[in-house]
Amino acid sequence: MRDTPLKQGATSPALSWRDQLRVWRDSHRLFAKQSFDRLWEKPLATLVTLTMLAIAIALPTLLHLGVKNVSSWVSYSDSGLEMTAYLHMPTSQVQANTDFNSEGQALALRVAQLSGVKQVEFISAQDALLRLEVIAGAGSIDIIDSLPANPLPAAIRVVVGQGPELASTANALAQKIEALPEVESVRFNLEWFQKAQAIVQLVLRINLAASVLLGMGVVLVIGNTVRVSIASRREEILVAKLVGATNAYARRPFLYLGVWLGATGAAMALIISFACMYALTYYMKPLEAAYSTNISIQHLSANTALVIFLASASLGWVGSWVICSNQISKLEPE
Amino acid sequence: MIEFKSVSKVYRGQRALADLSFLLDRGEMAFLTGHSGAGKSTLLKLIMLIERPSAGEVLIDGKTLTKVRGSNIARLRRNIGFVYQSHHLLSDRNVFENVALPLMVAGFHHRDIARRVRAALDKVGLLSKEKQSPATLSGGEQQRVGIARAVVNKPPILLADEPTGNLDPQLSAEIMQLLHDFNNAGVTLLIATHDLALIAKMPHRSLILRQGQLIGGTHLSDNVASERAAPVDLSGHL
Repeated sequence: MRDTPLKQGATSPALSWRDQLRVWRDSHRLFAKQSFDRLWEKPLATLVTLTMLAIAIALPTLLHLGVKNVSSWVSYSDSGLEMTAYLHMPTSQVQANTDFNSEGQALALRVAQLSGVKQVEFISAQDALLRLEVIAGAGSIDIIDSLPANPLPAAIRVVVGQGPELASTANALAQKIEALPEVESVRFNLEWFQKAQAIVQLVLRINLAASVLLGMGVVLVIGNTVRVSIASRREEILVAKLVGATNAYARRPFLYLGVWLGATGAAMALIISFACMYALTYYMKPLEAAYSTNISIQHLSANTALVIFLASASLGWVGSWVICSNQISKLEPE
Repeated sequence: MIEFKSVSKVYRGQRALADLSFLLDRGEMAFLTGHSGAGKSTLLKLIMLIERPSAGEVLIDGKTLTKVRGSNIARLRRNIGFVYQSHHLLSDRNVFENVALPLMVAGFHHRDIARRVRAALDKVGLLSKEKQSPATLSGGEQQRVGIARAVVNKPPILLADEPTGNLDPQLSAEIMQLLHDFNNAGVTLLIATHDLALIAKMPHRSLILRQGQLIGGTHLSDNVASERAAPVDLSGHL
């Protein structure tokens, strides 16, 4: 027996928590970079995978944009039924410019107190004219300017909140508003709103189902790519485990692979969507000219884009995790 | 340091190890011999927790391995260096990266990693080849990279499975001397080998396996006896 004391140092590093955190962060950074670099070792295979993912993510995104645009073109708002209360025309031009507008504002505030009202907006006669100019296009400005006085009345736009009894609420509300002395008439199209609502709801449900299915597709495509990657790096995983790698450590590069695939696929999908909307704007121009009208294209909001990006990266993580948790722990040295 | 208590291992009805008991002291160096199929690799795998005993228990540092599970298996392996006959180096990484693997896995800081890897490579005389791919090295050099990787974490225990199996006698002697040096530095060493000529030259205990049973060198007190008897015994069994 040997009496010399062991000279071996600690086999796990004795680091402060700050250093441990730094080591952990550095190791994650390294894994993230290595996983990303590995993607481009087989550029063609990666590109095919990414294109598949991009298409799967772009389809529901474009459908979402379609619903959003068509809704906006037909002035359908998901927030509720729109009602317009036209006010009596002012008796003189002076009145139209000054007190009338402040009275209208005050009236709008009173209307806002009525039950069932979700939102009000006072549109002065001047604003109404400006809006008409925008909708009618540049050609109309001369005609409008040639008018002796503004023919449009001021109005209050009322949004009636969604509810189970929308029809009765709307009718009751319309009667109440019409009874106000300042109001000339109230217009709304309940039937049209309900039809539009039904169609939009249907398309949204279809899109939800498509998103779920395509999301599952994203998870499966990424899972399969990760599975192939694990198989091709079997030796490396086994050696790492023999020198003391935990399952969590062995999983890490593949989780990053999944996240990169999801995130890159989403980025490509967003570029595709943007390109489609740009092309749409371009091809809409002759249509706008022919109808001498302005059609505003609704683009993807930054928030929605961020949600799509993060959701795809998360799906990538999930797809990778499902495969890893199964395959990596099964892979034990023999 | 390493203790086997009545350990048996059965593979699909076939007995690989039968009622094996021995104790390897801290800082001791011993050989594990026997012809192929005698259970040498199985015994080493039980220490690494690559395999589990069918009966009995294995203890390291007085602690039983029976209940070690999950990530604790990984932690146990960080305390045991392992040198393979086929060295298991990763061909897509250079020498430095191969040797650094155990440290990265254990969560060392990259500054410490560089320092320790160079120290380990220096010890095996390959410091100048850290940037090379293992494939460009000779068999002896590859084995030394494998040893550097096994000791880079300064594990208290070093196991070797036929470390000289693919090497000519001169290189084998060099590798054995290298392992012996680590033992001199206090590492507990168990080397599975059937290179009897090499064993005969070194003054260490031999655990002799035959059909899964130990037939010599089970206790330290056997040391002298087995060393004297070893050449005779072995020639009879192999």
